[in-house]
Amino acid sequence: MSGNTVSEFFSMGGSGFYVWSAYGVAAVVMLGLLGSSLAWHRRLTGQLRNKSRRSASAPPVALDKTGGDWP
Amino acid sequence: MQQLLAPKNFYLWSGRWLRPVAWATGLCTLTGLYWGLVVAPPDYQQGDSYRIMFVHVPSAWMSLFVYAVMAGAGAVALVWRIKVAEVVASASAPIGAAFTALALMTGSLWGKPMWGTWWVWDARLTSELLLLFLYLGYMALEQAIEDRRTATRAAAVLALVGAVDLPIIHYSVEWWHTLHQAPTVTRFGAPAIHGSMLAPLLVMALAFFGYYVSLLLVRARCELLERERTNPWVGEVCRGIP
Repeated sequence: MSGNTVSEFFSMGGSGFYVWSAYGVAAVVMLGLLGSSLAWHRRLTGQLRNKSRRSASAPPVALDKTGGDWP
Repeated sequence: MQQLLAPKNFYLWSGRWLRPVAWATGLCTLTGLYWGLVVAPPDYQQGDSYRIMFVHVPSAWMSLFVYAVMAGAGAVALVWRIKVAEVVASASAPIGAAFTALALMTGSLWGKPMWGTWWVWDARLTSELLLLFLYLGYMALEQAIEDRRTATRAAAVLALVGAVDLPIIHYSVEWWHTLHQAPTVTRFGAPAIHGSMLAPLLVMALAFFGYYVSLLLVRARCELLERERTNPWVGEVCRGIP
């Protein structure tokens, strides 16, 4: 390690701005894409679950496992 | 293997592998960051600014690797019309574009203190910028065509034509001696980088690779759900019926 103190670590021998900007932009881009991808999956499965439940409870598809008077 | 190519099987299989891959990626990231930022010694010429390498080089490597996967999966989709290959190609594009943008931005942040400029029209930089435009063109073309499967096949043609940029990027530093340095890791013989810096670089590269695999699985699963939404298995897996 270049320095013994926390401030020396963050100054990165004077190039702190460039080093931390590079790591910062990498973190923002990568975590942003990760977050949006996970949100996409959550939204899709939510939508499709609801759609599937609706069509499962609709009369012509007799897949309703709760019974009822449908044959 | 053949069974894995069925959309439903791929969806369930990727769901099982996501968690272990993500955990391994997180572990590599933490190890690589600590090793690269704290343990690795400063460079005798560049001081601490060389630490940008630990994000710059993996991004640049992955920008090429992801493009190769995208073009390869696109070719498979064109020839055999395999749905899983189609979604792998589609899902890779935004991830590859992100890696390319990162390679350019972190390179710029490294260029300023080392070369005294944010940007030059150097062969390596220009061909990498072209790669970014290829990714963006791929995504734009896919968006422009209504039918998803047709869109993926059209974009695959673009990806294959654009693949000529990959060797250009790789050899650019050897063909044209401009500002960007030649490779120090992948050259024949011993790498021209000390082990104390090479080790954290490889760990970070592994972390970036794991990040790509994890994100690829998540996005490929989304693409499959979107494209197969009228298929009964989609409703079943979304309701937790395997």
